[in-house]
Amino acid sequence: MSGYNFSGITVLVCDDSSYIRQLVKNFLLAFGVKEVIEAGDAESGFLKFVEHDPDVVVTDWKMGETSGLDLVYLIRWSEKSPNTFVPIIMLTGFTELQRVQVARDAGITSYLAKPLSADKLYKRLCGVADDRRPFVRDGEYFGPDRRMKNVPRPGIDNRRAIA
Amino acid sequence: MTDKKNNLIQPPRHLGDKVPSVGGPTPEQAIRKALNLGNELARSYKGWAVDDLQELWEEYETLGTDPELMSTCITRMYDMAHEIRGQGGTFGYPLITVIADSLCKYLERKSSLGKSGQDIVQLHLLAMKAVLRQNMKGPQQAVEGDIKQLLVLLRKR
Repeated sequence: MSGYNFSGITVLVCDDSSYIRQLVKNFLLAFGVKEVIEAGDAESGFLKFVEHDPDVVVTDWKMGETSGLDLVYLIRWSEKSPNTFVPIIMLTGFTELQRVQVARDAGITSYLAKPLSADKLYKRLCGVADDRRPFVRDGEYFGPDRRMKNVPRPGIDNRRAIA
Repeated sequence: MTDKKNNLIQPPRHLGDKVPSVGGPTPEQAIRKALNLGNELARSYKGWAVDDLQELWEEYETLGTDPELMSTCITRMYDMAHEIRGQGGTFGYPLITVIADSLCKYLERKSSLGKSGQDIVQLHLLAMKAVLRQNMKGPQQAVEGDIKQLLVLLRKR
């Protein structure tokens, strides 16, 4: 038996804590991800996003003076964005339901509350790989269809496919 | 492909197209390897946590010195406590997360603090210092519930 093969993908990790960035990078490389790009704030995160066109973005919410929500907005709306549909996982210490709602309304794909664990990150990564939701462009919102729950790909061992 | 009626747009590419559900390490292998790499980093956590806490303490000491700067100072303390909250449990010190979370809740939406408020902040900082000094790593079920309860009572004062 084998699991998800992440060896063909690049992930951008944006967090102002170099320790968290290093930990997330270590986890992703252990899962088999090909390459991990790092950034410490939303501005440099977007520059690296444009430069590298990663397959997944993992971003913190609060990054000093900048916010992960700014990064989400730039990725989803900017003319310079190479992939406005890229899966975005928001990794944050904020756990209040209201905050989750704000992040969801900004267009994220998945939300992951700190404290972070390898198990939780692995499940989220598998979850976004299985996410086939269409996107919605409706006034101020552009992002995954918030009305739909993610459904695992057909033929996949559903024991492993946890969104 | 778009569904204009519902404003639905099918993404031109899916991550799943690049991530086969087979061919990689099993979830158990992937997570075990990740934990090993994470443990190496966690061993260094205490060192930088002590430094972060010291910075927070220095910020606390400036709290009462200039009333005009108090709001900015509280915001900075909130930001630091927020970082510590995310890191504690991630690197094996869940009690640090519990106490930092309580401090964030206390500081959130505050722009000034009187003497008793400053004392409550100080108690949070001393509690975090004690956790690190006593090396209270890993789950602390015996005391976690009591500490949470104590912090709730403290914040209500």
